[in-house]
Amino acid sequence: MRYLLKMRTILFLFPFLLLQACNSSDRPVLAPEAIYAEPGMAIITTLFNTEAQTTSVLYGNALAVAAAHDAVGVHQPGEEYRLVTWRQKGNPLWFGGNINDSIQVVERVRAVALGSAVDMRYDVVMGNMTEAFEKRVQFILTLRGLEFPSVEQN
Amino acid sequence: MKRITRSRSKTLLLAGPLIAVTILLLQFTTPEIVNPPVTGPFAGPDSVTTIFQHACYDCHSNESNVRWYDKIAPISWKVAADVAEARAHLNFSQWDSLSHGEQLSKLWYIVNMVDQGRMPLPSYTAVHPSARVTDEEINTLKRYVTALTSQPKPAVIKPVAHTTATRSAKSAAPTSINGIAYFDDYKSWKVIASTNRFDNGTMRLIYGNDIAVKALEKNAINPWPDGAKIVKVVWDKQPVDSVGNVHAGKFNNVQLMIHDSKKFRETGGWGFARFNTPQLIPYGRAMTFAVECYECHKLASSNGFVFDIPTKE
Ligand code: HEC
Ligand code: HEC
Repeated sequence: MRYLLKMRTILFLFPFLLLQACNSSDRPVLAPEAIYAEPGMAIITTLFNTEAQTTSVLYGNALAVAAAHDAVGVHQPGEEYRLVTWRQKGNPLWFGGNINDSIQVVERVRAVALGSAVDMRYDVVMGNMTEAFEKRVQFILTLRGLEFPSVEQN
Repeated sequence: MKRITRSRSKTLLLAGPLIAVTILLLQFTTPEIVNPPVTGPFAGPDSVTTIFQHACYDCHSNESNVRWYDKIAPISWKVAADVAEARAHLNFSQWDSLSHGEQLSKLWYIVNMVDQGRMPLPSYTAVHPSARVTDEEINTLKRYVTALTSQPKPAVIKPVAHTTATRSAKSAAPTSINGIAYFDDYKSWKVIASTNRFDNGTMRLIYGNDIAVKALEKNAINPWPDGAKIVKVVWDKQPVDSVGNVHAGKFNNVQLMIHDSKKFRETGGWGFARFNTPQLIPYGRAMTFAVECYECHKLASSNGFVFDIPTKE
């Protein structure tokens, strides 16, 4: 009798066990550490690279955001930029889409006063960058502010 | 004791024929599956058409080939209902009635449905093993849609203009037919993913509010907690430059998902909304538009219906 009961429990649980097994195998493992957070910074723009298979987001403080939206492109001391670059992979849930993977490198550019001129300081906050820093600074500063929708425009 | 056994066998004796007669009578209720004329059939390469024919046409075309065992009630009821519903969603015999763009996005949807084993319906392949789609066939479909999707048209690269306007007290936020209004709050939220699509010429940033990000950190997304909000902002891609960089171009649309398990019970607990163009024109003329969003997002049911979340390799 007890044996029968056990048998019944197993039989009853079997489909659930099976479901459980299927679920855990194709359920992707979350990687919240890939979420970048930088308090006080807003997004300037985003880009990806088809050769390097990377995707990037440029963040900036208020002064940097203003400069990236300024048509003339005048810079002033206090601007701070961070270019975050992730490795990119195919979206596991949708063939046809790419999604960021782990963070590869975080670069920082800060505008400081040098006499009456503005000097750009560059450093790599995380990861490695092999390209010359002058080229990186130039590249980051050419990125223009993205067009966002806004209720205020309507 | 004996008497009980005897009466039980009597019942059985009676029940047998009764069941047989019922099944027999049921056969008169078998719905007939009619095949309306084929008006504008799918016309792809043979390698692709044959896959659809053997795996999908029984349900998604006007060329249903109903086997004898599909005609036995009560199975026949399920078959007829499946065919009617399948044809209403997707009919390869009326493929021409879709615009070129619709055909293309439908094809990507099809490939992903098959890739994840959602189609053909598993209940159907269990009885019709020949309808199974092999890995090789899935690759054929993937190659086909990838080749069909041409590179984005070259556009002039120019910095996008930024408009600054002051908020006027009178202007109300655009509101979707289901009551979800556009909001600007996400601009200070964390980006949970950055994505781009090679099935259409766009790239996106996906933002999550604090509740959504905490849920991700705690791996508590099945289901997501109420109050979680996810916003996806979509831009057109600019043409690729000499070193492989693709920059975001013009703003295209913004899409929202708001979790409220009671209010949006019918769509997996998520309220969906979409606003197109910088004018933020609400998408969807009838309340049912969200069902369309939800149906496709079921492909991400393992992640609580959200596709774009950071995952390990
Ligand atoms: C046994 C019948 C059956 C077969 C065979 C079948 N489907 Fe379906 N399909 C359905 C039903 C029913 C629906 C609608 C309800 C649902 O999604 O489950 C559907 C929905 C779909 C949808 C969603 C369409 C939309 O716009 O909402 C796609 C895409 C699809 N099927 C593709 C396919 C493909 C591709 C095949 C063959 C590889 C296939 N189906 C085989 C029954 C079937
Ligand atoms: C044919 C399939 C399909 C339909 C229909 C669809 N989506 Fe999605 N949606 C996707 C895919 C695939 C992604 C992830 C890839 C990407 O970044 O675009 C996505 C991503 C999203 C995201 C970001 C969160 C997430 O799940 O990754 C939101 C928000 C969203 N969709 C809203 C909507 C709304 C609102 C509708 C209906 C108006 C809708 N979707 C209809 C396929 C679909």
